[in-house]
Amino acid sequence: MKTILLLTSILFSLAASQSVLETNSSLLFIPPTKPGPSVILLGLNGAMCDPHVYISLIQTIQNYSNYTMWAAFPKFPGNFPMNVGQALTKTLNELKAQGANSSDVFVIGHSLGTFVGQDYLSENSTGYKGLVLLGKFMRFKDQDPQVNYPLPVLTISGELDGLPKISRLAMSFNQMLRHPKGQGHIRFPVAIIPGAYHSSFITGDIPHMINASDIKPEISGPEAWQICAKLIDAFVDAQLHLGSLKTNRGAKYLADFVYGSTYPLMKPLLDAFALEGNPYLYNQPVVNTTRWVSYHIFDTIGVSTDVLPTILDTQDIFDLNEFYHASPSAKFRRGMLDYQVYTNKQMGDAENDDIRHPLNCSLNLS
Amino acid sequence: MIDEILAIIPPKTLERYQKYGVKLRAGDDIQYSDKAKWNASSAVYEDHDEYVVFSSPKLLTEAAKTNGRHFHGRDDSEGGDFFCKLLSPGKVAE
Repeated sequence: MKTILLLTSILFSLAASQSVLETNSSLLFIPPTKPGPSVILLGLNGAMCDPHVYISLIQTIQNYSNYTMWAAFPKFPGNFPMNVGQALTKTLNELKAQGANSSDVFVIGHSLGTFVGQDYLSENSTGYKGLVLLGKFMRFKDQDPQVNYPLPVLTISGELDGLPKISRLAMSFNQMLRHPKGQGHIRFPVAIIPGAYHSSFITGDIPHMINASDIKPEISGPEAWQICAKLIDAFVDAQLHLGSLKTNRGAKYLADFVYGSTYPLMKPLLDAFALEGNPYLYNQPVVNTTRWVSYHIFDTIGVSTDVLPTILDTQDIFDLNEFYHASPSAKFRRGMLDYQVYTNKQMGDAENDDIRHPLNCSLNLS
Repeated sequence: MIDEILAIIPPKTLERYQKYGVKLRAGDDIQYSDKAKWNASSAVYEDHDEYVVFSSPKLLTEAAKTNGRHFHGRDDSEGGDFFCKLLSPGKVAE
């Protein structure tokens, strides 16, 4: 028989019924009484993050939302999420035993929990309405998730997150902008919380390996939780009212946040990626070009385009060996000086967030 | 290029970079004279207390002098190629 312990400290509880229960296998968040229908949030923790560190965030969501937000986190050995399907099912059953009566189930992952969650749900989406990623992103293994992923996904990250950097989130944002039906901000919204960092979603001691790579936040935890609560509530609301998006409160909030707050942060990054024709952008015809080289090559090699009519063709060569053996040329044809320049992009692993990957450039200076 | 990127990032981001950021500076190119060595080379990041200097390996192959041609009609074996390794604009913006 399971032992159910009522936590001695019930934190941030604004309504009498709001509480946290702990079983051998789960942490269950009983919501305060709300006028709206029930929704279930199942959490997957980050590496080495005990589920208790999410109490403040979850209770902020419960208090903010008009929905009756039931929530629970499975507990994993060593706080490393694994065997996710089994754990989610068990935790869901425990939550339902407490009174959670809803078929609207969303999964929220933080950090490592986002990766194991998205991997599991990519093959096991039945019974789930959506996925929320905190402090990570949809991986490129799903290519264009808006087309290939079976569930809508809300991505939330901190502007000052030093683990998945904002530049990586810009690539997800770019995918959102390219949603085939123009509903990226509803189905795959990417939202950046200004001033937040990787651990803005949790309380307590932060694992050293996380802190060592992070940037210092400029907003408090409660400020971040409040923004997070609004975004998650809006995302849930929009997914449950897909037939009335034009008047839906959640859809409007998502649009305002994504385009009003996040877009200004993302645009310079996307412009810079476009200059290099970043191969992770998936924007044809941008990817196979290197506009930055085109714009500056003549200045770099000291050639004036005023003397002769000059045209330039830059061709990106994917294979490094082929690039090394490519023969750039400068030929005078039909009254034009025709430059052929080759580029090769060594971008490294996009999820590695390593700045130290130069762009190779080969050009003829004959 | 660093200046161009700094000109387009949001004011608050720029202010934060100026206040806390490890500044990225462009250093002198590193001259190579052998293509095989240039191929094997990497861009250099030299760490200093408050800034990092990026230096690019550069190679200018020697042009053949057999026929006196300059821009016109040369073939691939004549050399005169310029190679360099560039810092990614996206990473500068990051």
